[in-house]
Amino acid sequence: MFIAHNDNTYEEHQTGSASSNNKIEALKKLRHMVAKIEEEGKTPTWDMETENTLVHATSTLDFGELRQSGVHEIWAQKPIDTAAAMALLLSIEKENTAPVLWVTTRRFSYDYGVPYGPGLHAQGITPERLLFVMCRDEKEALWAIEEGLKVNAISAVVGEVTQMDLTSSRRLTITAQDHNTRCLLLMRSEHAPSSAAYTRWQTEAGESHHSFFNEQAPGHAVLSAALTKHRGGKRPITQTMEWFHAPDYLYMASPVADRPVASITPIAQAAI
Amino acid sequence: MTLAEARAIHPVLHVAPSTPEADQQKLEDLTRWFIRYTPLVAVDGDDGILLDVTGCTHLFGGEEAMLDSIKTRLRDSGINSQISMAENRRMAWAFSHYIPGTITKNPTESQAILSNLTMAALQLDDGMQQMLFKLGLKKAGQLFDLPRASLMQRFRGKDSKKIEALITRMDQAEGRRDEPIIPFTLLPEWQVRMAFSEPLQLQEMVSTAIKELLLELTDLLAEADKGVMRLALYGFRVDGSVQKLMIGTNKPSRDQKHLMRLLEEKLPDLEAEFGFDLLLLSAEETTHLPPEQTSSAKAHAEHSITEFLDRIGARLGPSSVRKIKHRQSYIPEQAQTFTSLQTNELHWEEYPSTLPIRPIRLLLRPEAIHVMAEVPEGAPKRFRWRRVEHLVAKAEGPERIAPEWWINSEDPTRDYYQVEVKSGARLWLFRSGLYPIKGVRPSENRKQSTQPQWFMHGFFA
Repeated sequence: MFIAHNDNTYEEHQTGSASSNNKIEALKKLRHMVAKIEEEGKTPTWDMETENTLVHATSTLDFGELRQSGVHEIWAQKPIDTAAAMALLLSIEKENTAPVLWVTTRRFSYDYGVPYGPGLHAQGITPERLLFVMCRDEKEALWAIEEGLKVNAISAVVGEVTQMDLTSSRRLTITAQDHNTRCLLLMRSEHAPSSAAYTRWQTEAGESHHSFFNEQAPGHAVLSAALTKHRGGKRPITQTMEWFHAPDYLYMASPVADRPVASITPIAQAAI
Repeated sequence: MTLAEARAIHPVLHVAPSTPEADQQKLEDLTRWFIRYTPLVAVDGDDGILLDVTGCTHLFGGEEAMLDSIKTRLRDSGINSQISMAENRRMAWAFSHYIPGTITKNPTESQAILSNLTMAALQLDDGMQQMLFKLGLKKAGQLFDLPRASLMQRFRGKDSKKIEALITRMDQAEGRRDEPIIPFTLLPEWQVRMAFSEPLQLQEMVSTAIKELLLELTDLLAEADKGVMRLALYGFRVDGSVQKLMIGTNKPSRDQKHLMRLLEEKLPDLEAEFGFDLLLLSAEETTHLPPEQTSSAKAHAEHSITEFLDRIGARLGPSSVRKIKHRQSYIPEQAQTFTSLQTNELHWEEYPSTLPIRPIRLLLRPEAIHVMAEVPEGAPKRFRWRRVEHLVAKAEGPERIAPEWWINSEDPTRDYYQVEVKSGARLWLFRSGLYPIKGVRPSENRKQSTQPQWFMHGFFA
């Protein structure tokens, strides 16, 4: 599971004055309108109240946005972060049992490898759920993704692509909206072009804290995910998460917890 | 006679090399073209084509009109032909070879005609013909007049086999014994056709015609509770060649829209050139498909997923959609294989849960890395992979994976390390081969006897 920690320190908006309250009200109305237009009839998810309560809390973020139908782009900051982006994607997918359509290209699998069953197993994804579509090029991949979005029996369509222009992204968005399906794009390219996707996340692997028993060994995986774009009008937000194998294990991904091995010996003893 | 001799006699002799393979190929092409008349066609010998037109003649306006049509079309494309039609293949062969153009509709009529033909019309081998000739039997009719029983009795010993063959041939000619035609192509189970007076050239028109054909075919299939597994579309071009498209489905279907979508994927492959004058749609393989109950949501969902897979298969090739399967192997890249969709036993439940954590992405093949700061018996401190230098912050290992000696003991042992580079990304590296220790452990790499190589193999979450 992922334990999330909010890295953002927003200034507070409610300063009490009547004029700013009016402004906020007006802003809220406008955002609702924008969201309505963009969503084409969907109820907007943006909510001022929850936003404000989020500001102070260091809470677990459930990445609810990624569960919405539509196109979601998950970007790897550096080529080497592709697995981190994939981990974020998998954390959303493990709640479902329906098949996942995994569309990839020869080029992408040559560069970044292919999902590996034994590793997926550990992440809580049964490898049986994956249906791979191996495409010769990105053009075929985009077509396969679009066709996949027309199928309701699939939990999500995962597309591994490097190039995506506004037109293709718009196409996918429309198809996903029409069929109420979800497209998760695992993306990696030098530039991040504009797109019609509902959300865009930038993911990056973070330095891990020490493992319990071995100071030289990597601890639990840390990744940070930044919501850089949200069609519903949500503010950019950055989350840093730590990944655990044990399902009921709580841990705070804060530097405070990163103490030398010796000082947490009592916990280690308790664990033994 | 040699060619030189022949040229001496007739100096302006036209010489062409004999090409039996090419001739056979041409004959097969022509046979395929005859599918436009009947699905049951076969190549007959070196120079014949056999058509079973039972039940097909009315489509072409009767027997005479059909023969005329074949004759004209063949003549137009420069082929000389001798055609006749009779109630069985032996009769038809005899007539076409000795009195072409004959059409007989009942056995007595054809028997009467056959009686006047020479013995050769019965397609007997040379030995038999000579023997019958010596006995004074020259016309086929004379043979049929003889009582069968006495014929059998007269030939004993080594000739009896020959006589048996003769009797068989006579029975076949009389239609007393069935002689099946081995069809040139697999017989379709259902077939619909549409002929055009003006050749079709535009793709839109072709696709409209196909829609009509599909509608007709699916109606027929629905009546018979059948669903199509393989569907073929034949386009007969004006120039005499035949174009063929083939689609397959993962589950039987008679959904007209779905099948049309599959065909449309392939339509661009169809080269109309001067146009098609006949389109033929045949269900090459069908299975039982009971009438559907559309109310079940689950059935519908399953339906839509197979339809999707059919579409992908039609466009990207049938093997483009795969599942991953577990194989019992300790070598990481061999523990997972891609397998076809039809496989249901993926064996992931057999994966041992005691093994250390594995990466979520595995490179298709391990990539050599350049290690700059090597630590003996440990993970490297600094290495370069794909021209980017990485500093190792933390490392865990090794997990030693020995080659599977029962398969291939030549491979060196691998020591796997999970390393975390400075940025936080986690990679799976391994050293191929153990360090040689003087006197204790000789170099594993007997062939090169060099230092062990480092490889990058996967990405952790």
